[in-house]
Amino acid sequence: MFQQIIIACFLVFGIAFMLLALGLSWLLSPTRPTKGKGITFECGMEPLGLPWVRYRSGFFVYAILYVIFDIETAFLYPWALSFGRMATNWFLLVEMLIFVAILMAGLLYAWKEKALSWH
Amino acid sequence: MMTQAPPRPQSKWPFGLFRAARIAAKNLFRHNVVIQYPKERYNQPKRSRWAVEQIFADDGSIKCTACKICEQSCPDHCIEIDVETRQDKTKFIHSWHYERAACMMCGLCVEACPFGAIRMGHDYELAHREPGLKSIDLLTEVEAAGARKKEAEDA
Amino acid sequence: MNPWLVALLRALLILLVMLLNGAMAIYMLRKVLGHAHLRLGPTELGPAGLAQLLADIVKLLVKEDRHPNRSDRWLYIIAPFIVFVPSFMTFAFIPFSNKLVAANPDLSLLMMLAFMSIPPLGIFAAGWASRSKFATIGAVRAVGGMITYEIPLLLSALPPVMLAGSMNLQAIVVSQSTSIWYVLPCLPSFIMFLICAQMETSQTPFDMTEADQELVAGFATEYSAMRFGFMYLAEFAENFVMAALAVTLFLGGWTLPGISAAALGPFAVLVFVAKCYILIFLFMMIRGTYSRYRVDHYMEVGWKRLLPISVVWIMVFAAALRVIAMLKGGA
Repeated sequence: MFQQIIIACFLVFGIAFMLLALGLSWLLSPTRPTKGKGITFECGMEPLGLPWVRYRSGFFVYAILYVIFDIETAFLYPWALSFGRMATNWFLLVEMLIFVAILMAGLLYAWKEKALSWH
Repeated sequence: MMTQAPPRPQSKWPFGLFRAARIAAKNLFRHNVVIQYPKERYNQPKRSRWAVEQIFADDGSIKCTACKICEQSCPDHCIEIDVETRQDKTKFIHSWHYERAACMMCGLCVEACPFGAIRMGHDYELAHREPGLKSIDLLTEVEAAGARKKEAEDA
Repeated sequence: MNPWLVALLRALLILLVMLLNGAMAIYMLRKVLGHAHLRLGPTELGPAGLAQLLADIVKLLVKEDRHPNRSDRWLYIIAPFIVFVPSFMTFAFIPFSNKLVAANPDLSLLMMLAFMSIPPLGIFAAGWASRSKFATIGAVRAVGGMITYEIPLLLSALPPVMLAGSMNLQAIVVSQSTSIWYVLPCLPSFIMFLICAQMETSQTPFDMTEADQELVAGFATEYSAMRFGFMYLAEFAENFVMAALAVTLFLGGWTLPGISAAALGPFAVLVFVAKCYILIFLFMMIRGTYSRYRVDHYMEVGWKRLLPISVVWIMVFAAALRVIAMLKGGA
């Protein structure tokens, strides 16, 4: 319980510090809005077109793969803990090898389908 | 510039990474190459070219004969000489006008001058706040140095 | 004492540590990068340029805080919080010495890594809310890179967990004092951790997020004054956290080989901080030496090289541990 209290205090302190600094900045800084200051930066010209420019759909693939491998990592963590405490049977190792091999097969498929390369 | 060894062929091992790291680590101990400008000044090479200046002798006399060869040779037409030729064929320079801000300091005028009357100066701190220094008169209302006068002196 | 009071005091102390570290790290960065580039860093303000940071902070405080007209107001305001606050919270779990650790739950490594995964979300929010093309592209590239390198980072933190048998950072440090520093048996993990740390803190050679010559300031293009200051401070805080984590997991934390914890006493903090700053210096030298990776290059390196290598290395390491246990048990 104490640990949670400490982490909650850190959260509160972080937010409070930011609010303090931003408040100080709000007190000290001028506010003179002109039209030119409100335009987003585009190398000195008026912005052309929509700001939500189309970027590669490949990033969506990276995000999906990240989710999958992050879940794999989430499974690897308790396994590593148990394995570190009792490296006494092969079953533990082989079981995780099979799991990782299945996920690596997925990565290999994505690799072959050129989902991971840029072109 | 020193001649450099031909570049090594690219190997598949990342040895370049270590060479780069060694160079950067050595750089930490090398002397800084940046000149701290207001406190130190750069030692210019002898032949560095900055704005054009007239050459004055010790007694203040000039060598310019107002032949206008420098005016013709300037690619940007920065030099404008207002000279009056009097009846006894001597010349009087009203103004030797020089657009210093337009000058690209190529040195063609100095090369072209047959009398060696101008030179490329060494002063590079030419930035100014007053607007009147963009184009200046290097000579005003002086007698041009004359070949005839020298003849007259010899005679 | 009232647990809340103790917690508040610890949080305050760590806040001061973080600010101090930020100040030192920024000055050190500018000087180290300067000398690596054969120039001096800041020299004018204060003796040897020490007051430069103060001047920068004052400048950031009094600058006008303009937001773009079309920006998504609430998200624009909240994004720096999402970037900065988790970076600050990870400071809680770092063991500075035998007794100096703010929060020491049983799974402190996992919590720390979990908090370190949140800033990319804030970066994306910042870029998106700015409604600027530069910011969008910068944010997408930044997040793409950070999540790619997040997995090898997490996986390379596993071998020390396997060796120590615990996820508590203090326990990992203590078990390194009884055996050898884990950098020796887990050297590939250490190298991978350093590479991923370089990416997570957006430093060259992976700084496509802030490729100044190409993307202005990337996701932070439309941020000015103190909001930008917080993104910047978060980057330096992350820098220290990555170095501290590497030191804790691989380089023995606050211990020195051969000297017991009792003999070290208060010098453990100095030992820890010195090791951290040696690693930070290494990060800065790498930053100042190598050229920037292109986006597609570092994405390919992350998915096709680092991820398979990290997974295969964990399996090999586990198999090696098993074999060693079998040999020890058998013989």
